[in-house]
Amino acid sequence: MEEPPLLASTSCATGSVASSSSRNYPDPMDEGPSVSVPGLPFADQRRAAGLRASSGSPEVPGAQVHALASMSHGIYPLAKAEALRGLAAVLETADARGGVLEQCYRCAVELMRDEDEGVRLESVRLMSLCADKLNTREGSAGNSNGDQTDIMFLQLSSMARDMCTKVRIEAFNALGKMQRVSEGVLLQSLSKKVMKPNTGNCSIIKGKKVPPKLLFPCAAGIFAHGIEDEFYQVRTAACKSLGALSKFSTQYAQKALDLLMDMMNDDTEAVRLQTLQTLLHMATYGCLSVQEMHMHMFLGLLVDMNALIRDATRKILGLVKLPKLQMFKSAIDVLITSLEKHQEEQEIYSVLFSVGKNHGNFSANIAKHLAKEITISSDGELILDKPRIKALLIVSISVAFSDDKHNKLDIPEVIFSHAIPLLGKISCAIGEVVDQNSLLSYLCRKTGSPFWETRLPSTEPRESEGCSVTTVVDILAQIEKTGKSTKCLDEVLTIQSIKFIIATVERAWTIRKSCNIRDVRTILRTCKEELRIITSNSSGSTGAFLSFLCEYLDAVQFIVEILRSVQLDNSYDLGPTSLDVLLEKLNTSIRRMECCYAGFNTETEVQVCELALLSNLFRLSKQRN
Amino acid sequence: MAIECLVLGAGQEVGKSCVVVTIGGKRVMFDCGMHMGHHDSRRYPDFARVLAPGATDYTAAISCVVISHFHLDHIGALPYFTEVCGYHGPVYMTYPTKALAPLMLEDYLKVMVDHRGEEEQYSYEDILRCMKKVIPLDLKQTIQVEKDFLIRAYYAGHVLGAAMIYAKVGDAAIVYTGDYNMAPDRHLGAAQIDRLKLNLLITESTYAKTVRDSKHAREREFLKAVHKCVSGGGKVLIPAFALGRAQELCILLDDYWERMNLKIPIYFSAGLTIQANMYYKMLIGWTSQKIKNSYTVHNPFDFKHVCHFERSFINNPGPCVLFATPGMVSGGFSLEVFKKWAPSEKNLVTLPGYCVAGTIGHKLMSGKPTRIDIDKDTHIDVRCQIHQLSFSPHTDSKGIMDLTEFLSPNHVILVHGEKPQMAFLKERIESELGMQCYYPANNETVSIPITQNLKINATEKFITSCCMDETENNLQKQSPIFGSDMPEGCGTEGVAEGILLMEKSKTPKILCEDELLHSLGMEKHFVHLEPLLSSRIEEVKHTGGSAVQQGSLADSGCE
Repeated sequence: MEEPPLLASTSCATGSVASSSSRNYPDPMDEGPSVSVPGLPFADQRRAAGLRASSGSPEVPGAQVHALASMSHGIYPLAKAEALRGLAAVLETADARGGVLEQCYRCAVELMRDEDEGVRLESVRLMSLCADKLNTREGSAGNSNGDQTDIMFLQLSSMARDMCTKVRIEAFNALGKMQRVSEGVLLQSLSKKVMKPNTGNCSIIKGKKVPPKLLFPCAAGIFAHGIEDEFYQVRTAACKSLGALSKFSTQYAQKALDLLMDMMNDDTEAVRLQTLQTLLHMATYGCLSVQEMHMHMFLGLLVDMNALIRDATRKILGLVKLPKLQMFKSAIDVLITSLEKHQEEQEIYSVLFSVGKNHGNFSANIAKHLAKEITISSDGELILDKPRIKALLIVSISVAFSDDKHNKLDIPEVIFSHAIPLLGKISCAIGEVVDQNSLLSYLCRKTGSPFWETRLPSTEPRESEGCSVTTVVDILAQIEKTGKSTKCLDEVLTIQSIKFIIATVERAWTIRKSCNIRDVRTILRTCKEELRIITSNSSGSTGAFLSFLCEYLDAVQFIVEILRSVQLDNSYDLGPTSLDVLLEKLNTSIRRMECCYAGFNTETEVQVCELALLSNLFRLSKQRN
Repeated sequence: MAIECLVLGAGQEVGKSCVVVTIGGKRVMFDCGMHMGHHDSRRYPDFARVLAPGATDYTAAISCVVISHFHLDHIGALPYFTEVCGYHGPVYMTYPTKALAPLMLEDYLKVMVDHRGEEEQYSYEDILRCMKKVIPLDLKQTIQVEKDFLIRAYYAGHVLGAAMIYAKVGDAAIVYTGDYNMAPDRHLGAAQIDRLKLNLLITESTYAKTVRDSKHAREREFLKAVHKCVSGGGKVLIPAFALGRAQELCILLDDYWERMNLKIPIYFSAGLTIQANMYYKMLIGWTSQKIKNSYTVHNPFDFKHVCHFERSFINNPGPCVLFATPGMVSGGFSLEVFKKWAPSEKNLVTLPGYCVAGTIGHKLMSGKPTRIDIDKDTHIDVRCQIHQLSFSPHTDSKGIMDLTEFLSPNHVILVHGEKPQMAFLKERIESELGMQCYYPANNETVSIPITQNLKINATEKFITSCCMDETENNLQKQSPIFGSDMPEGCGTEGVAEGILLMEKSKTPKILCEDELLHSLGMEKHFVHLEPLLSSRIEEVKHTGGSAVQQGSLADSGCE
């Protein structure tokens, strides 16, 4: 009697539990001495025993559960919490079929209203685990017991208004993990107003002996409360669960969206980001339908100060379906504004593209307007470099990739021709689906571009130009594979300009007979200069290729000069323009091409050989003269 | 034993909150407010009722006064009670309440007495003297008022420094909520309390029937309206009370300005608001979690986008946002600005959710007037837009139910509400939560019976024997059927037999039958009853005198 009476009670209780259990199941209960201490070590051992028990005989968890269940009715909160944790450990490993689940569930329910928050926290965790186990059990058995899940959902909901922050977080996490909850219960969890349960739900609840506190109202508006919680951790958890549950019911998803939209004004960045992530999750599951009333908020986020928020919003926008042209246009407008403000954010182009692609008919509309604008200001007034035009061009081009086939015919030709200079941007925006080469050829085909048309009937030197283009493409393919997106962009631009230079050279070659030689000379010289500027900025394989191209252009220029001098039969020329000097220069140039560059493909090698042959021919003809 | 609860004010009405609770001989007065609607003796609670017939000493009649927060309907009568009625006992309130209460009381005196020439019940000096008697409280600080009498304050939201009061006398415990808010604001947290074993909960019921929708939607509409107005070059006038609403809205706007990178100036009209902001800056510990968190980096009441204001700025061109007092545009600076700005349709006026009838705010809310007459000569053409925005710091019906459910008291008393709504809530509490609920009118007393608990000791052996029975019971009851029934406990309620031993001047204890003799310090005696044989009679005669019967146990008071 010296001991305080309360302490005596627990030590006796556990002692008796142990002794009675050890009578029945002597094996795992032999840790007699520690049993007399009703504290943490015991429960720890229980947990360890629980883990061991998974391989043991089926009765063993029963006894453990029993011991732990009795302990959970003690008076010390820490011991109670630890007992619940022990139960969870046993349940984790136990076979869901036995009575273990039921016993754990009962303990969890009883301790949900405990005075100590630690105990409440553990009971919520245990409840969540029970729900999970029940789900797996019923999933495997095939007979779903929706009522029980609903009741569990309601019980967890009633914990979501707890005064302890940790309990609330845990409750919301647990709610998010629930499966197969009926729609009525879900909808109730969004609305603070208690809904009259419709007949279906009514019968479910009626047949049971539901305690008064576990009727429908306890779920009322828990999410509405959760997203307004004082602690951002709770708001984040509530937001996550909202998203996770939205795949069970479209009606729920719609109403959840209203709540989520409101969370965009949250004062904590973490919550706003989580909201956007939840929306993205919903969009991926296809249960996100944006209404006109949400647009203001959405568009505000696109020009948010925070880059992460902008990025996350754009990702969502790339996935949603906007029901109205007006909404679509305003989204495009805001994207353009954001592009003008943050020119460095190249992802905007790809978002523009996917938004355009998702709304084929709306984009076709944009394309028509843009085409008009282009034709009105056709005299070079339209500055392609403006973000707005670039953006609109990309949206217009995206129609061609959209799903509705009939819209593709609607794109005016002028759009394609203007899109060619933006090839790099567009191909970046499309991503990996289409490679740049085929995109270019597609655009050119659509435009009826002279460059690709003239290439086809081939004369000898033209053939060689065509070959170089192939090489360009080869390198380009390499770059595309290895390069990072930003660096790739530079390279793509380079290659873009190379193509133009080659095209120009080709055109100059075709006009060499009809036009003044001076013009041809100027064209070639300008080309070479441009090429040198590009060369100075690039390195690696591209750089090597460019210097090769310089050499090649030199050779072409010498050939042009030689031909002219042969035609004029101007053998009296002296100095740098005399035939001898020109021939010598051509020879050097060709030799340099032969010797300084390794790794030609066959075609290029053949070309260089052809050039060498040509130079020898010139020499022979000169000697004959 | 019972808890006597005398409602002196705020019974079936809002105003002059004052509840006197008697528990086990201790008497606590919760709040001491005034009614702003009355101008006669009904303005103050009828304090005389707490006195025994013929007595005059309030200090003897009341153990202590506890004030929940600084609103006048909760504190307005305190200087009157202490200085005029002559109560000299302890007065408790939280630190912020103690800091802000004089501001409110002095402001009241200035407006009511100096401006309107009403009869003054107490003076500025009375306020100062009264505040000197106040003992400040901190949150969750337990104060022993007298022996066996504790009080403790819990966070209530509502306004800066608002508290719920837990009082415990012996085993009987009650909570008086004052005004509270279960949903957090931008600048204040939600009410927070432990799960306590309560006999009685006295709760406010301002919104006994209303379930409010999400605050987010209202905020969104407000921001949208303001943004639209300023981006169109308009001016926004926000008439607001100095404490609470002004800070709440300003935090909201400041945050939005930051996110949207707006450069339009926000102004505070000078006076009480700026003074109040200073207090808010000092009392950071009583604000919401978010503000407490960000305080380490930046004091959120140092508004980044709020600019210095001068009166001449009213006529400046270009957009701006201005907070001006008073909140209902009943006069003062907000009226002056309203006169200037109302005629332009570009401008916007944001009104609070509730305006007293007769004020311009009320006229603007009821329909959209185009012309308002201030007096015979002056009138205002109202062409500006009007946005109504209610930010009530009171909890709604859902919140009251949540708190009541969480605390699970045996009885509930509703105060601070309208009678019909209270009747509705009473029904709900009784049917859904199964608790007794009352809503007494002013000057009515409710008596709550409480059961007295008696602590008893138990012997080790007795407990062991109980547990044995219990475990055996449990082992027999295996194989429960899941889902068919709600759990009714693990069946741990077994029946155990024992003897309750109550001796004078000792704690009663319970023990097993076979321990009894030992604890009484007696030996065991047997009484043999045998057929009477002549030879045995002789033997008995020889030994003789050891005649103790088991009946003697009854004398020592066993049951």
